Amino acid sequence: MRDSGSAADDLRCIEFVGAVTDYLEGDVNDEDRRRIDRHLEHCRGCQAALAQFQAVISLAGRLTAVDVTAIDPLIRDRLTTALRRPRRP
Amino acid sequence: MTRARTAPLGRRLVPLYAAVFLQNLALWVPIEKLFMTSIGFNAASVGAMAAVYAVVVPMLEVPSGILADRWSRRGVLILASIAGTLSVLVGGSSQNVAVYMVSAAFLGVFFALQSGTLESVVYDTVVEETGASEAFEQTIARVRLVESVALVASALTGGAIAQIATLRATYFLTAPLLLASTVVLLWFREPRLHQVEERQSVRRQVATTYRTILARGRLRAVVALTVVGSVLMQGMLEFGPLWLVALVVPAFLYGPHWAGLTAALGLGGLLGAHAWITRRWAAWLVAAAILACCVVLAVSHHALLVVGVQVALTLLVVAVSIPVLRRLHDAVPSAIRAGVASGVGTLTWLTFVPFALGFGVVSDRAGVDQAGWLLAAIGVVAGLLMVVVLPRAPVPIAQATSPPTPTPVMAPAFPSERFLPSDDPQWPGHWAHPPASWDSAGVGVHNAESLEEARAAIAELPAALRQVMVLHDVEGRAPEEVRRALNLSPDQERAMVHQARSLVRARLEDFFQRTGGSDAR
Repeated sequence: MRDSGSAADDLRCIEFVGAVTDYLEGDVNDEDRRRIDRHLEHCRGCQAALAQFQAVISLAGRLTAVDVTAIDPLIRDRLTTALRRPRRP
Repeated sequence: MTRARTAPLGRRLVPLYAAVFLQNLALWVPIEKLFMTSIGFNAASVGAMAAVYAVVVPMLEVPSGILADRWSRRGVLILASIAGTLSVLVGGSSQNVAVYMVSAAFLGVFFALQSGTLESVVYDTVVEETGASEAFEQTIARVRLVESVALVASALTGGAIAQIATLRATYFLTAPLLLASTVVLLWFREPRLHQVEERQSVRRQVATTYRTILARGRLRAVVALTVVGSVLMQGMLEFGPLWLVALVVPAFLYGPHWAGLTAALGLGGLLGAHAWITRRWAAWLVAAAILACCVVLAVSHHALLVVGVQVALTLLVVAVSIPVLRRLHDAVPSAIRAGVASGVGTLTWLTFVPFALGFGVVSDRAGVDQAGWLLAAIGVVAGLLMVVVLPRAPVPIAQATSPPTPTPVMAPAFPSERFLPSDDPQWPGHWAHPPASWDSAGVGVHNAESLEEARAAIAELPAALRQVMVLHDVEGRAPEEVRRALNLSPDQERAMVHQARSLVRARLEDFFQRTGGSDAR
């Protein structure tokens, strides 16, 4: 994928995804915001990454605290074991 | 809470209820003072024995709670039963004051091990079984009822046994009951919540436990109300009979009086399990009633009224303690639950001892009714705290009050192999395998299946990350609020939100690739 470069874009994709939460929370300075916006204009990979984070936030916003803590007793045992096991490869 | 969700909870708790019943069947209690006199106790040595409790219990409370948090709550309850067994065996065979003191020390160990641990095991079982803490009040009320039935039963049978056998027999016959409780506890499946949460070093855990107990803010009022409520209740149980002595009440009233006080322990629990008790008007009403009871004890010389008011006061104080206990446990993460609950027990002791000494001095010099004004003073404090603490909604999830942690090293949002290496001649740090648009995956990003996948992903996050994500993204609270609630620095909070979202994102990406068949690579 080589769609992310232009003379005005000095931001690497890996930097953007590291700062995506700061960007979404409005916690970047004006200059960084402009750099990111310029980068996003023509980087489809980073556009998709941003959209995925926005989707996560939007899905989380449709849940309630009870949804994610109240777990069916039948599957709870499975979940608590999963919590203690390392995440699947 | 539906019946379908509480039925497995009820079944799971049966061995715990049975163990609580057996642990509280202390047959020797009604004849203890008689037995102590028979082996040579006098007023001074009774005082010395009280001092043994006053030293042993607070010293062991918090360490035993931390042991319960780090090792096993069930294990600590079993150790409590063993300490109780040693206490009755030594007590029953003691021929003199010194040996009986050893028995009292073991009893102190029993109390210290049991208190705090029992409530914690009940709370965690409720949360593990139902996913929320709403059923806690009802469940702890049942535990209080079981305790109270056991106390009443032992008061009746202990006296009867002493009549037909010897005083010593009541001690020895209690031992098999306590041993039976250890066996019954083995049937109880212990909740594992405290082990799922992240483990910290002993030093750090001790620091977190004390910091939580003594923290400023909401919890302080809850802790203070727990302490003054317990002082009022203990005061009634310890000093209630003094009014009967002062009013020269006929002996036949002592039995119903004691039965009324112990029954109030259980019935008060049932009353406290009702949701209306935390309404604002109810809190004011109960606060006023508690104060009125204290004032009656200070001014009335009517024996029946005094007995009735003592029972009512005990009942109300126990009732209030139930929702207060839930607020305490709601505010404490499982990993330090028993330690904090035990620490509150220690504070109760530290408050009760000077109160008891003051009460003793005043009732000795001016009469027990004048000492009743001490109760009224505590009643005022309790009432004020009640109208502050009770109407507040309990917090939905446990909030960790751990000391600020260094920002953990976080995994990146996307694994590094998805980017070109930093020495790539043309595009260092740019995408090698960019993410695909989920909209093109063929499964709606916002349909029910995606929502369920997101729910499961959040539910399976490590506890600390889940807490942050629930507050920040699920409940949409402001970052400052999240930081305050969880005692995090701005950087920590931001890093944890980022990490939690990244984990959920990775899992959703897997899901869309599996179900949509769209390969990003």
